[in-house]
Amino acid sequence: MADKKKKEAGYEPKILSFCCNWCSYAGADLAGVSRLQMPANFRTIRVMCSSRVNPVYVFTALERGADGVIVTGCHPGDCHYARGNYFTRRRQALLEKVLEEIGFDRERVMLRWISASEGPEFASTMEEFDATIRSKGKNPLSEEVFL
Amino acid sequence: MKEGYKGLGVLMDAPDGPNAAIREMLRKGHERGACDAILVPMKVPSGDSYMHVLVDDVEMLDRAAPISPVLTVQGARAVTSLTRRGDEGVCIAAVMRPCEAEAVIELRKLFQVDLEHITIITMDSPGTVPLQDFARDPEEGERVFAEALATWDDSAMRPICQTCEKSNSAVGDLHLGLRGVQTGKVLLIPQGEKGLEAIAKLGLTPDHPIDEWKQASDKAMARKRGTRKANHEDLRKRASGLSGLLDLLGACINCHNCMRVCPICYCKQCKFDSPELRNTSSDYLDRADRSGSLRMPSDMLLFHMGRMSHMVLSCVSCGACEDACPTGVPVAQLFSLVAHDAQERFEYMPGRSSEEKRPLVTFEFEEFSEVED
Repeated sequence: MADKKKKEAGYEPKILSFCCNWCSYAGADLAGVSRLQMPANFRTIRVMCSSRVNPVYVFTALERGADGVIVTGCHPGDCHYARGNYFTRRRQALLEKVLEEIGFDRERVMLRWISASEGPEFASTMEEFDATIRSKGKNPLSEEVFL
Repeated sequence: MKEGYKGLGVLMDAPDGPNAAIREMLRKGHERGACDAILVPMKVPSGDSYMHVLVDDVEMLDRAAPISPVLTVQGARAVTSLTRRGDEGVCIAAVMRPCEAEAVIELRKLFQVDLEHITIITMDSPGTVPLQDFARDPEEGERVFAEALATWDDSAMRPICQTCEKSNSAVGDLHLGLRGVQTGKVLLIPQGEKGLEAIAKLGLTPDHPIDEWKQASDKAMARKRGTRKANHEDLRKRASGLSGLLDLLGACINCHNCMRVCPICYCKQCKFDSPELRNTSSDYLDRADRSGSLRMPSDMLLFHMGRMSHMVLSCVSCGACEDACPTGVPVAQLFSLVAHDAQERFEYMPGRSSEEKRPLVTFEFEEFSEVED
């Protein structure tokens, strides 16, 4: 019972962020060492390239109750592996299409390009995404039984 | 739809119906060395199903049913099993539906088949009878199908066939036009070099214009597009929102049959069967805590969503998944709906050309700016 009350009282969105090793993770690091204020409710998974993020990872996170998933990578043209993020963009286009088709709010997933020098951008992106998710409330999948 | 060679085909006699005409053509092709063996559907001895068989002895061709009433093992799976170890120079003529041939082309892009010595023969498809209906009453199934083949009325065929706008697509190296062709005849349409070579070996010359067939086909396909649109709209309504979707998939028993029979799902180990998705009891308890309870085994929706994202761009809407579903989930119709829109977004049509790259292995520098939000 106590648990339930706690659940209802303070809703803290759970956000998952995939950061590419070469740009966005370094950007996140820069935001951290610059002591920029940002929401503390995102968990980061570092991947070698944003194109490493299979749409299934995003679906899994959403199915398991993440309220939002953000994929970040190097800006187009700046990919450490030259072309990886162009593939990411296509994967994201497919992912969003599938989400849209099955009637899931596709604004719960986001793709952003953040370079290693863009610490402030990383912080503001997280702020912005957190605000979006907060306004949407809980991921409806986290309340479904028959998954 | 691809054009036939210079818009010309061969008008062949078919006094005993298209099946007999195809058998005759295959026999002649084998005799004249156009192929060493033939892969063609044949009725199983018990009479309640059809399977693709590799025919070496042409005498056996009498039992072949090139236009079979049901789709059992998807033809692309049959071709994969035949050429999995690579090409060995044996020329094989493979007879299948346009949707099966499209899947073969997709599998070629995925390096799962070797088409070097395979000649694909397709035909206008009147659709197929739902597999479970046919198993229940084969005689009735045969009757219903014979009627559909004679009248081109597809109302008793599978729902996915009723909405298939590619059922007359000339996908194969040789395509048999049946619709709009005068009674007692079939129109053999060659495509590409392989088709022309085959037709030359048969001792035939393409001299008959295909216009009549094409017009009849285009008209029928336009009608089917209309049916599909209505069907998709209806399905979209039923599947709208998560609860609608979960209702639609509610009967799913996690058997993964749809994945196992899918020609495009070629992976040796499916992620959704792998230990990767096995969680600890406390993980499940955590999730149950959030929603109050949790269906076990879980991950039903994840499986469908995941499979969708993996194969939907190559989905040829053959309907094998729906035929294989023991609980009657309209999985092929759902996938076809998503496939249609997703393929449109990438301007991709599976099976259109084996030269065309699959959308996720290529890119343009400037595109999809709407996803970079």
